[in-house]
Amino acid sequence: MQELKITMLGPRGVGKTSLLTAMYEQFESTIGRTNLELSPDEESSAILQERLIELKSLLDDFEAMGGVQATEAPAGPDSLRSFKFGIGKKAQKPSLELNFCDYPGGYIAAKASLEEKQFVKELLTECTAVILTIDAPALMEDKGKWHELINRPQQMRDLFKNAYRELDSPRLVILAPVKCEKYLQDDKSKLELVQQLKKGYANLLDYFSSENLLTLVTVVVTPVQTVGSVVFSRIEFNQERPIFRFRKISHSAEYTPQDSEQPLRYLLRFMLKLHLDSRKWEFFNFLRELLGVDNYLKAAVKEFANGCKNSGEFAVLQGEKWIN
Amino acid sequence: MEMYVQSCGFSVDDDYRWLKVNADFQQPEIPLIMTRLILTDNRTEVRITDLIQSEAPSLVLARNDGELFLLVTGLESRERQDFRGRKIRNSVALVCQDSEENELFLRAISVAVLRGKLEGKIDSAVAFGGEYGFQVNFDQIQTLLSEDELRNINSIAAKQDYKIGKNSSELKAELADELAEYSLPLDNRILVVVTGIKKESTLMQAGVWRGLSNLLEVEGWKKPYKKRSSFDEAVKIFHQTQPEKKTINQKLNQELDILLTSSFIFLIGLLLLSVLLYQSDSPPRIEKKLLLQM
Repeated sequence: MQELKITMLGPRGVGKTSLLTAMYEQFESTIGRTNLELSPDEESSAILQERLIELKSLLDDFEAMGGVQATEAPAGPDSLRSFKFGIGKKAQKPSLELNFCDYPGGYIAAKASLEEKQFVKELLTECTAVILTIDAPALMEDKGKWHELINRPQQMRDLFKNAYRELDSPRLVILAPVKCEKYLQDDKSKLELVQQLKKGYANLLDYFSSENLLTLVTVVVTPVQTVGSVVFSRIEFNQERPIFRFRKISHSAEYTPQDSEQPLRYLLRFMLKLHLDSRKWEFFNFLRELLGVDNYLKAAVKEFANGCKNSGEFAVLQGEKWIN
Repeated sequence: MEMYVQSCGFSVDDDYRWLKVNADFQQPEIPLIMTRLILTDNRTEVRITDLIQSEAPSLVLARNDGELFLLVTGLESRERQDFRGRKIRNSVALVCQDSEENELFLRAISVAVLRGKLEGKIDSAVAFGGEYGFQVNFDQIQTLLSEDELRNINSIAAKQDYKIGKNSSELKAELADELAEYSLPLDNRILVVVTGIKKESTLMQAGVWRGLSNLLEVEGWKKPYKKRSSFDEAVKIFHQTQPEKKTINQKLNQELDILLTSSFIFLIGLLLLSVLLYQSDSPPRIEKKLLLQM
């Protein structure tokens, strides 16, 4: 069974695990319309289900506090768990395993040990797809004053530079702003979000569009509203450090996530295309075509593509050939 | 006895980490036993962290290579939250020499944890501050148990059945009562695991003596999956030292095999001989033709 690894990326508290949880909730409905079946690892499924309950608990109070608990590694990087999902034709053994990796954001902080920093570097090198989670309020509020402190864009660029130094295979990088409910209310604010994202990650996007990477790296922007009914409220300060506060849009507001399946759609498009390409029989490809061996995969890729948003705040910035 | 505490600080730079804690210093260090592979009963190796969901309240007791180990994780702080408003979790690990006195102490701590009596005490010993965002009051954390709590621990010989069950308040209470009365088995293994999401097969493969997990869907303890008594041990050793003796049936079967094989070989030999004799009596075909023509 082919294994494809995907990693979340971002500093502590930006929302990596929350985004992974929100995507997990959409797995069944996104895949359900195709002839594919998802077989989650028992523990992966149970743990993400627990995280989903934590995510929804943000709505317990008007001042939305808490949410998904912080990720910890009980005994160093080797003890970190990953979340495994088998994908295959319905009623058949999975032919592809998606392995989602998450890590404590502190692994890229200044106080991280060498082992922890090395772990993240290796993760970026090994993973076929990276989901860079972006704290949208930090990006947008006060003209992006807190963007560098919270999202660490320069550090993200340096991590990619180290990992993609000798890249020789296609990669997908999804830039996923989260907690962006406030900035998707109308077309004007959506445009501002995209402009601010391009400005805030100019160096990183510039690096991806360099000669060596332009043909290998697909870059996609997919803003996600992981809860939908909680918006940024204000910034408070604790010893001069900003604390971002959120609140419900109304006391009776319910859990209404928006577009949390979009990163997953792009992921599956990319992964299945890679998987299809790896199943080629060289000179005997015509046989695969004749027998229709991969028809169900091709149909699935088409279905995922049909549902992918690609306008307004959603954009494929480069590398479209790896998702078609 | 070595003590370790895991927690985190308020700010973005102070993520979860283990600190080795004593009267003189508090410095980052992961308990070595948690990174080591431990041999299980069925000759596989496992890490302690493979058997727990560490973010959930968990308890591990283990005996390995002359050391006793206790791990308690997922204890939620009452008041401390990080910069995102997330409740901070504390974990404690104790490593000590394998002795009766130390085992009694670790069992007493385990009993208190299972009865929900230590979460607050541990939390009040951990505060924001220090180089890594949190610091531990060593004097306070050293005196987690009262004299009474230590005195109420007995040491009846350990039960030898191995069992697992669903992580419920009833079974945790039963396990606490058992640990208060009975010693731990002397086996060199991971003895007790109480945790959140962990597969039944994982606990069984590791051969834990007592295991509780949220993923088990049974009422009460499952039927013991292993039972070993001193008599059984003696019988096992006896068989291992005796030459293998065959039963009468085995002897008969063996002799029948020999007879059948010999008969088969004899028949093949007869057949070959017949063919050879036939060939030597009959002239070759060409010669036969010539004779007829003559």
